[in-house]
Parts: sequence; structure tokens; C-alpha cells
Amino acid sequence: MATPPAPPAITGFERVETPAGPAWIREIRYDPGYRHGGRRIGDLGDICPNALEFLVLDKCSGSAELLFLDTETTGLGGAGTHVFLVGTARLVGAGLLLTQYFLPGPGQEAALLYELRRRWLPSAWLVTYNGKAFDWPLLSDRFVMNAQVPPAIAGHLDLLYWSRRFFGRCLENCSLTSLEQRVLETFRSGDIPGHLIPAAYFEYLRHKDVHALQPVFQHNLHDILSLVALSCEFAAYVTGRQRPPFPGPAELGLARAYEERGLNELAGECYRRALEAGLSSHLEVWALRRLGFLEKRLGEVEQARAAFAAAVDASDHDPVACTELAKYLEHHARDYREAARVVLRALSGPAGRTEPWRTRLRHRLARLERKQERGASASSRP
Amino acid sequence: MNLLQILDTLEHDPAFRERVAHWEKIPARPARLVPFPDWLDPRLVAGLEARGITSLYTHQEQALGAAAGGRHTMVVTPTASGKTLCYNLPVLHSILDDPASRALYIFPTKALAQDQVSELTELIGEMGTDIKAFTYDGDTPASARKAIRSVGHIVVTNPDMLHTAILPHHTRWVKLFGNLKYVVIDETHQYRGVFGSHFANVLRRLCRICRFYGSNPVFICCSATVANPAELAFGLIGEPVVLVDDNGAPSAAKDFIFYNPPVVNAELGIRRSSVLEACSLAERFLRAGVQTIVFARARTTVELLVTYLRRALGKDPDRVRGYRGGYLPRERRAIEKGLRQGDVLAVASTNALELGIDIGALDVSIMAGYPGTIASAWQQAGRAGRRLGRSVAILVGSSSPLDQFLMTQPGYFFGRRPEHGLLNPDNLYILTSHLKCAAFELPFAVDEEFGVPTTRSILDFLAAEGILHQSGDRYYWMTDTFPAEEISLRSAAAENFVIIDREKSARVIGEVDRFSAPLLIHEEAIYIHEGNQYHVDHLDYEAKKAYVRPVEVDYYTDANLAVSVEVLEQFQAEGNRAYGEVTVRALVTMFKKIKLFTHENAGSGPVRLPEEQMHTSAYWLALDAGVTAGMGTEEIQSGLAGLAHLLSVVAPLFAMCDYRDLRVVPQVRAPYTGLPTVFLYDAYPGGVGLSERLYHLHYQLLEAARALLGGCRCADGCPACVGPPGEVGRQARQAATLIIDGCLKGREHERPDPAAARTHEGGRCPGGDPTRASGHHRV
Repeated sequence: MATPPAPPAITGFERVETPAGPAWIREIRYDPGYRHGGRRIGDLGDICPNALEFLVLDKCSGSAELLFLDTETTGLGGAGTHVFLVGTARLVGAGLLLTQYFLPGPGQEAALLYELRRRWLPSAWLVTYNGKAFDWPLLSDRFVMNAQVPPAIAGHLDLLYWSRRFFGRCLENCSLTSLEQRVLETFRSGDIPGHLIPAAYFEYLRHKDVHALQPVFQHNLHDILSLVALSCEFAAYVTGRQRPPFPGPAELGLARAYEERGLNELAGECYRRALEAGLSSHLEVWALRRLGFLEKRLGEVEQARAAFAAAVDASDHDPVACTELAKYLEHHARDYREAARVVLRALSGPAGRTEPWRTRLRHRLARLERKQERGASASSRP
Repeated sequence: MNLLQILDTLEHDPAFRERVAHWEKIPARPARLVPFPDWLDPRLVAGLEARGITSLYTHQEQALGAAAGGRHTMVVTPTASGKTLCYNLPVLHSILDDPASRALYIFPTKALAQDQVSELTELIGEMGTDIKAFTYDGDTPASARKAIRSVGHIVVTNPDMLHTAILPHHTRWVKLFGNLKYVVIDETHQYRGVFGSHFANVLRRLCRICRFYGSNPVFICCSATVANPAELAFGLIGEPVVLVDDNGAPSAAKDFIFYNPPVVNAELGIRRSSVLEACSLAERFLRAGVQTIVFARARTTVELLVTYLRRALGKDPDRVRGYRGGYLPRERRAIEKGLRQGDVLAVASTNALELGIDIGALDVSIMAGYPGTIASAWQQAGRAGRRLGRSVAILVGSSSPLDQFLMTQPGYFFGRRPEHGLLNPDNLYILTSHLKCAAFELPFAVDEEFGVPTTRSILDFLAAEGILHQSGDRYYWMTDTFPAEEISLRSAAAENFVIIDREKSARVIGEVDRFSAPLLIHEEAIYIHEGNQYHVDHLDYEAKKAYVRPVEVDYYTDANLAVSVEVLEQFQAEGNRAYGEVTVRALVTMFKKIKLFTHENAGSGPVRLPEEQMHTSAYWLALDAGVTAGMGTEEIQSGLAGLAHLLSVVAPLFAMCDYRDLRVVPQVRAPYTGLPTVFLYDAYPGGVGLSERLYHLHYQLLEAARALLGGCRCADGCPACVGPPGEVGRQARQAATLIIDGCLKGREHERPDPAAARTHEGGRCPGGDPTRASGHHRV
């Protein structure tokens, strides 16, 4: 290190001169072997373009670089919310370079933003946790407030979206902390709760004691490392290199994602794995129905029948499953009596079901009864 | 029978004529037209011509000229005079000229905004251009908001949305604020009192943000008739305006009838109920199929009217509808549409329909009681008859003193200018609230002024409180709250109570605001909605929910409010009057059951709800021994109650505010003064300057009270002057006279009050119809 920065020093941060005044930066490097929970930083190199494209549902050029981003702020949004700490991380070689930008006072924002922009990656793929709704628009607002143009991004991967898809059905909430504990198996000690962070900054502004902010710097660091680990984790799920924890519900989220991208075979496998792993009765019926429709699209008539029949058994009167099973019985098995019985079963379900369903089921029942009569009269004819 | 035949019958009906206090025949006025100015964009001209508009009214051309010339403009013309073109023309012209231009329209309610956009969209459609106009309010889906922010040329919103959603998030509206050419404020007369004072500060914030993004919009304000339009506009936008008030639109002939119901108790000065009379008058028109609107002052009265009219007309209850705050938006839209299409024959409404909501042209407007202000009365009368044909407006006088004052002296109404629109944007409480919002939106420079020269000291105060942080030469917002959410522009209490019908699968049937809740939805109250009665089974005060069930009973309920006032600090005093800061405690203690139709008392019950408390400013008048010399205790008590009643009638006229903005409380022995005292206080935390104004108008107020008393023909006092004898005591009239005379004697010892002289009214507009142009060219 060269000579220490001139006062007022901010412990651990380096003063960088910009045309807009001094900015305060600190850089931390993590080598590929560094572990965060069950993950190594080096695993990040394994995120192949395919996995990334899958996760963002978009094309990304070969030069795309991941830029992990997390901010600490003084509030929940609006022009009066300041971003006082920006943490970013990117791959350098096989290791990770983590950079924190600190705002020592509200008047020095232009310098922070200038330096952030200067170090920005030319075709950055932002990776955040709830950053689409929060961090990124808020940071963009700060550029607007300082009459600057926000830096460009090539794309944005918000891991909250995937957390909800994978774990929304099995975790109480999808906060980053709960994912750390249940999925990444990493634990924070002495962490400052998020809702106390603004107060810590206000306290710092009043007394200029930067030690009060050490837990916040640490919190931000930990958030970013978790972002990195979670990206590796999710990439491994979608490429099939690793199965998600809580196989039942999490596989369902994966199945839907495969289906949306037309990967029907993979989706079918996920549905089956989810059913094997065990699901709540509500989710089981839902999964069986999805699987039935999937098989139907693939032309697997019998497989579809089996799935819908299982859904009917599991639910007793699920109108969608009953309708599909009745269709099969009517058009393939030509067993009108059994089809009518299935329709009646659906109609016997609890009242309060939306009317169009009932009306359609009644039409179906009437037609099946006509067909049965015609069949009966045809067979009784000499 | 058609409308003309009914009028003819009424005119020759001696029984009816006897009750007519005044019959004003307002002649039709021809249109004054001018061609489109030659510089107006030809696409705009073509669009107007396609809609059948081939020329402009003179006032439209004047407004267009002024606004397009970059001058702030205030247009004051009556309902249905084509006001919307006064702003749509300059705005559309500017967008055609430069597609980057943006405009912001602000209407006091969502309903008006939605109306406006559909009208604009039609005109834009005829022009065949790609100009986008959107509403942006609480109903706008989140998915549409982003697009509106960037591509909307004309954004139509309301003050509350501007305050809580647009200004605090101005960074998302760079396109709008960077290119804002026009800000349109319609229904400007609505922005007076508390609401106006808030709104003026919202506009200060808007201008601040515009300066930040380098725009300097022209304001176009439109208003119904007020006495001081230019002053009102100046108060709101803080800059002088060009006044356009010479109406060039035609108007139909109108009969404006003051109808005074017959006396039922001469001694008590009680007349037949104005509601029942309005109802039977309405019946005459409705039976002939003439579309009629009946205005009532209170929500409950609206519901009573709906009940009565439905019973009177018998078949097809949907032909009679109610309309007021508390109805859900969908319900309102259906009623508005029914009125336009003629499916709805009669509507009973509060002043909610006074605003420019498009309900088409009705034939008859009946007011059950004076709506409180001259401007309101003309607006309500204007609901009948748009441009052609003849129309009728009837004001049915109630027994209330102000109504009777007008019935005996209609010249006061027809000859006088309407009220002043007053506001006090510099109320410290309101200003500080908005200063916080402004600091949230953009940091304050130390030398920046926000409305008042003392801005710096307020900023320092907020910094000392730890809300702002001073760094260098700026103050920054440094709190993790969102200040706009804590401030309601409309009232002190933001939260509404919802009313839930238990029997219809817990459907929400309406809402009431927090201060009305103890009065309207206490347990055992009969809450009336759309003419149906509901019994309040349970009021969950904490959760702000009232659970009701439909009932059919022959009574309604009326709750009593007990109010006490305690002086915290006296700011100024002279003789026996003073003004200062007070704490007001309001408690609803009991309610009465009142029989339908006969209005007899049919029992009562207690109300157990927490007390509401607020700090506000008050003006008080204490009666010292010199005034009450020779009077007995009971006499003083009656006289004090009578005086309080008289002041409650005249004070709103002099403070020129809505009667709900000001409350009056007598105290036989006020702890602070130790004397019999009448308190008049601002019904708003922190006050809006009304009581301070009244303090300065002290003697005018007393003289008006004495004139009111002198003009009343009762013997011992009646509800038309000192109040109902049963409530104020038997000698109230004489005692009040003595007291007022005693107080007025004090004047001889004082010098003339400059503040009082300044607000003194001259009869500047004799015999004129205030809804018509005053005839002065001021463009």
C-alpha cells in the first residue's frame, strides 16, 4: 500500500480523486478456493452461458460479464432515499473482486456515482436480489438526481424471482437470509438487521464515527457473497448438475421453467421426481394435472390418462382433472357411462365453483347421456 | 305536461305563489363567436370542425391567446361554457408544434379526471394524430404506469396522487418534468380552506421540481365564479395571472325560484321541512317525466330523499338514485351513465355532483336548503339547463337562520358577489409538512425560499429534530420515512372506516371518514345507503370497520356531539376578545332515534367511543361584568348560547370558508377566562388562519349577528336566529341582544382595525348574475 489517505479517513476505505470530488472505495479479493457456505468462489466459473440464458430467458452475448450488485440505503424508495453504500462484485481471473463504494455524506454523491460509473463493466449483466424492484431503480434515481445518466446494463438477473419459483412453496419467506440458512447453509454472526441499517447511517452522520457502520459494511459483503453462491446454486439446478433441496416443491418450480422454454421431456422428469418426493395434496393434484397436459401435448394418451386419473383420485372432484379424464373416456375409450360418472363426480364438488365450469360440465353430461341412450337403442335394435 | 306547462301552472297557482319569496327570471344570452385564430394548428382546427365546432366563444379565444403567449391564465365562466377548450386548445397546439411537449392536468377528483380523458381522446381521435392522454391515479394498473410516465403527452391526475405518488418519485418522470409546458388546474374554486392551503404547497413543490429539470410551465386555471379569482389563483400558484371572465357562451333562459315552506309553528319559527317540501316539488316534475336533481346538504338527507322519492314514484326504483361520497366508484359511474342516457329520472345528491362530472343536461335543480355558499348555490343551479331550452332552479329554504335570511333578503344572493376563495398556504403546520416533502424530493439550499422568508429557520428546526441533515450549504432528507404518506390533503384524518354488510357475504358497501364515524356509524345507528337502511351491529374502532345488516325500521338516528375547549396559549388580545392556541376534545355521547316523515323523537341511547382530540387555533369572546351587568345566571346562559348560535351562522360568511371548517362552542364559565365565553375554532389541527381573521373582524361579526337578530320576526328567539328555544333557553333572544349591544359599546374605545377595513365588502356587482360574466375586459 502507498501512503495512507489524507484525512478525514474512513477506516478501510481508500480515497479516490474524481472530477466531482473524492470518492471512498474499498476492494476485497477472494481467491477461487474461498468458501461461502457449501459453495466455492471458483464454482462461479462453472456458470455456462446456457445456464445464464436459461435463467434470464434472454440471449446473452459471449462478452457478457456478471456484475453482482447490492446497495444499502436510508429508506424504502423515493427521491429522498439515499444510497450510502454500493457493493459490486465481478470475476477477475478465477477469483472474485468485490468493491464497496461508501458515501461519507449526502453532498458527496456525485463523486461516488462518478467512480461507480467509471469502473462499470461495459456489458454488465446485473445480478441482484430484488434489484429489479429496488436496488437498480433506486440507484438509477440517484444518477438522475445528480444530473447524470445511469450506466448501461446488458441484462438483469434478479435471483428473488428464482427463489420464489423454487422455494416459494416450501419456505416461510424468500428473504435472502432465509435462503442462506435453508439452502446455502451459511450463517451470519453479529449481523445487523436490515431495518436498523438506516438508523446506523444517521448515527454515523451525526457523530462521524465510522465504527458504527462496520456491521453494515460486513452485512453488504455477506449479501454479495450470498448472491454469488446463490447464482452458482441456481445454475446447477437448471443444468441438472445438482438437484434442489426440498425436492417436491422446488422441482415443481423447475418443471414450470422447463415447460415455459419448451423443454417438455425435462419438465416431465421434474414433475415425476416432485411427485415421488411427496407433495401436499393440493400441490399433488396441481402437479398431476400439469403432467397430464404435458403428456397430452407429447401425444402420450395413456400416460396422460394415468395422470388425470390419479389427479381425480387425489382430489375426488377437481373439475379440470375430471373434465380431462371424461374427455379421454368419451373420445378414446368410448366408455360414456364411466365418462358420465366422472362428470357427475366433478359436479358433486363443493358449491361456489365458478359458474362457467359447472355449465360446461352440465353440457358435457347431457351429451354423454344422449350418447348413452343412442348406444342403448342401437344395441337393442334387432 | 312538459316543463313549460308545469312552470305555467306553478305561476298561476296562488298557493305556490304565496310561498315564493323571490322569482328571478334570467334571460337567455346569445353566443358571442369569433373565428379560430389563423396561427392555430390546422390539424387541431380540422379535429374541432369534425366535432362540429367551427368557431370559438370569445372567452375561449382570449384564454387561448393568453396561455399560448406564455402567461398564466385564470378562466372564470359558468358551468357548460366550454371551459375545457380554454386549456385543451393551447395544450394540444403546443404538443402538435413540438411532440416533446408535456402537460399535466389536475382535477380535484378521480371521476373528473376520467371524464376529461375520454373527452380529450375523442378530440385527439378526430385530429388523427398520435397524442397520448392518460389518467394516472390510484386506479391505474401498475403495468401501465411505466409507459404513461415516459410516453404520456398529457397526464391527468388529482392533487393527492401528485402529492404522494408523482412528486416524491419525480426521478421516474424526467420526460414529463423536463418538458412540462402547461399545468392545468380545473375546478380551482375547490381549492380553498384547508384543502387549498395544502394544494398551494403541493404546487410549490411541483414548481421546485420543474426548476430542477429546467422547465417553467404556464398554469391555466379554471374556476366557477368566486369573488376573487385572480387572488385565489395567485395564492395557489404564487404568480400573477391573466383573468378571463367575460363569458361568450350562450345560456338558456332560467327561472330561479326562492321557495319558503309554510310556517308550522310561528312561535318557534319552524317551517315545514325543506326536505319534505323539496321532495313534493320534485314529485311534480318527476310525474311529468322531467329529469330532476335534488341537492341536500347531508349524506343522510340524500338517503332520506331517495327513500321518499322512491315511495312517491312507486314502480321501478332504479329510476331514482342517490349520489354522494361513500359510494363505490363503479356504482357512481353507473349512476352518471344512467343520468346521461335518461334511464335515471331523479337523482338526490350531496355537493358531490356540484363538480363538473358529466351527467348531461338536466331540466330542474332543486336545493333542499341553502348549500352554504353562494358559489355552491350557483353551481348546483347550473346543473339544470345547459345551453338551450328553459330550465328551473328552486332553492327551498330550511328553517335555518341563514336560509331565512336569504329568503327575506334575496337581493343579498342575486346582487352580491359570491364568496372569496381563501387559503393560507403559509399555515405553519401545513407549510412545515410540505417543506418536509419538498426536502425529501430535492435537497434545500441554505438560501432557498419555500413560500416564506423564514424557510431557513424551519429547516434548522427540522435539522435539530434529526429529520434533515445539513451538509455544506444544503439540507438533506435524512430519515427512513416517506413524508407524503403521513399528510392527507383533504382532512386531518387520513383513514376511513369501511362499512361491511354482514348478510351479503361481508360486502363493503361504503366508507366514512374518521371524524364522521362516531356520528354516523356508532353501534345501534341506522346507516342509510342507496335508500336502504342498515343497523350497525358492531363497530370495531381499532380495525376501522363497522358491521351492519339490512333492516327496515321507521326511524333514523342522529348523534349528539359534546365538545370542550381548553386554552393553551393566548397570542393576541384586545378588550374582551382574544385568539390563541387551544385543545379541542370532541366526544359523541348519545344518539336519538327520530321517526321518518314526522321527525318525532322516538327514543335514545348512549354512544361509547373514544374522544377525538386536536390542537388548533381559536378566537374567543369573553363577556366581562360590564357586558353582563344586571343579567341573571340563567339569562346569561341563554344569551351566550344564542350568541354562539348567531356567530356560527354569520362567521362562515365573513371568514368565507366552508361552514365545516369552523366550529363554535359556548362555555358558561371558561376555565381560562373565568367568564362566560364563546369559542370559534378552526376545525383543523394547527388551524388555517380562520380564527385569526375572525379576531380582526370582531365588530363586523357582532354587527352581522345583530342584523340577523333584528331581521328575525320571532318573539322570543327561534332556530332562525338564536337557536331552538328548547336548547338555548327562553330568554335567549333578548339576552343575546343585550350581550351584543354590550360588546359593541366596547368599540368606541378602540381605534379602527385596518385588517377589518381591508376585508370589508363593497357592493361592486349590483344586480348582476355572478355566473355570468362581470362584463369587464381584463385580458
